[in-house]
Amino acid sequence: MPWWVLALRLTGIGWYIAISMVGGIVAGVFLDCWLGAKPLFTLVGLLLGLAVAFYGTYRLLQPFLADSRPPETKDKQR
Amino acid sequence: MNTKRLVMLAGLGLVVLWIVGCGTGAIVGAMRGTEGFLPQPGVHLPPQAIMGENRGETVSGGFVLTNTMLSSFITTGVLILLFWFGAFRMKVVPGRLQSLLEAIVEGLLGVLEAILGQVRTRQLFPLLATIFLFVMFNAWLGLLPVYQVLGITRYEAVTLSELDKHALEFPVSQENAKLPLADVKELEHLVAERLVVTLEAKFVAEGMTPEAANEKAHEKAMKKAHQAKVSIVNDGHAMTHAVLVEGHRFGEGAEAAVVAAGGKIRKKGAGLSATLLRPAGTDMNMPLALALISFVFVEGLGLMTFRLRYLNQFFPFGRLIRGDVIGFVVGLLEVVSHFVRVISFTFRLWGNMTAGEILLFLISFLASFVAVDLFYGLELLVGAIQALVFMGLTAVFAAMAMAPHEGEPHEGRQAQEPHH
Repeated sequence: MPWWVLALRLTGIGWYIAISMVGGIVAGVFLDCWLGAKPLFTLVGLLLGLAVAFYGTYRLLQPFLADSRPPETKDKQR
Repeated sequence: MNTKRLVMLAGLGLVVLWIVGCGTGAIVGAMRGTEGFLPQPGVHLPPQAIMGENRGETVSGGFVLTNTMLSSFITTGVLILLFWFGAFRMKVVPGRLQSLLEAIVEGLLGVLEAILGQVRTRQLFPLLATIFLFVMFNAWLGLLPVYQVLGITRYEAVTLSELDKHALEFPVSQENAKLPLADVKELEHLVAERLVVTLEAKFVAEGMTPEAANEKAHEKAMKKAHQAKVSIVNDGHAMTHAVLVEGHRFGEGAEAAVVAAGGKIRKKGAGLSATLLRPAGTDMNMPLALALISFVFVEGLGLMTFRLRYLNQFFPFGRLIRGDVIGFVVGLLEVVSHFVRVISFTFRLWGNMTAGEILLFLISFLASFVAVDLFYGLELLVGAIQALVFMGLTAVFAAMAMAPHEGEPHEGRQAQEPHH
């Protein structure tokens, strides 16, 4: 694959991070309003969102991480 | 020699225009205390209707023909005509138009083959190339000067908030800032009268009884009119802020009120409240529609290739049964990442197109004539790049959907194999 195809695949990652976090917080605020447990679910949502953002980004990046191993490990596999 | 002289003359003309443009722009205008050559641009994010009774107003629901829709129809028409004339009598030795189109198609084929491979490129080419051509021509046609010149004039149908911002002005120089009190009272009265009518209609439409609506409208109109009076007495020109609010159609009434109060109505600049044509990329509906098409296309390809097994990467119940809860949650994350694509597609295209439009407005406002040409060049580039990105990403996602579970952890692939 040429480099620009790989670059294209990286373009959505920022949005993934943003939306995971915002989504978690919004869901938390909504739950707080509904259940009346003011800061609890917002914080939980934030943490969950962060975790999802982190892990999802890791998974999105995994193919690239695998491709960019140091040359000696690649040589060993060959 | 002759051409050299011509080039030099043209260059000289450009430099002169550049200097004149900078001189008449808003930057120098602000330094010298004069007005710029162009009116201050107003930025409308939502599209405006160009037909029907709400002409020139922002659309909120229902089906109306908007300026962005019209421009997308025109883009479609231009593309159809272009390819019709270029390809309806194809020759072995192509003419100019045909070779241009061939160059475009071959270029796109080259790009897509790098992503999808030859066989799949031939299968998926029609949709992907359509996305590219539509996005690019839409952006490029939007740079034609007709797009910002044709429009709907302000007084045919204008919202109050627009009047508020642009059209109505009291004489605001320091000396005549204070209006005679009698006129202000007259104005208050007029404004209240007009407001009662519009408010009453609004409340009745909202389902109030006529009596209650009348009472509430009176109450509210008096309050507004009083605010108007207070602010006029205080600073002489603030009527527009206090009265012309809430988006009521109020054109003639407001005009009459201002005239009655001894104010002047001044049209500023070209005075377009809505342009007839606006690049569809600046309306979030178009990128969203394209993003949804791309989403359905990609997921449909995945489903067609793998049938129901495609859903296994999103809802791996097999792992849940085996007690691999984390694996199951990871599958759900995959769902999120697929939906995020729609959002990122939408905002990327919309943001780039809108930012380009605003940039052009601003630069031509700040320094007219030559300076903006550079940015037109930039916008040509941005249009092409965004089209390429949109098409390329759709192709990449399609390739990922058709590849056997790419991006999944390897142990997942091995664990699934006993099932089939």
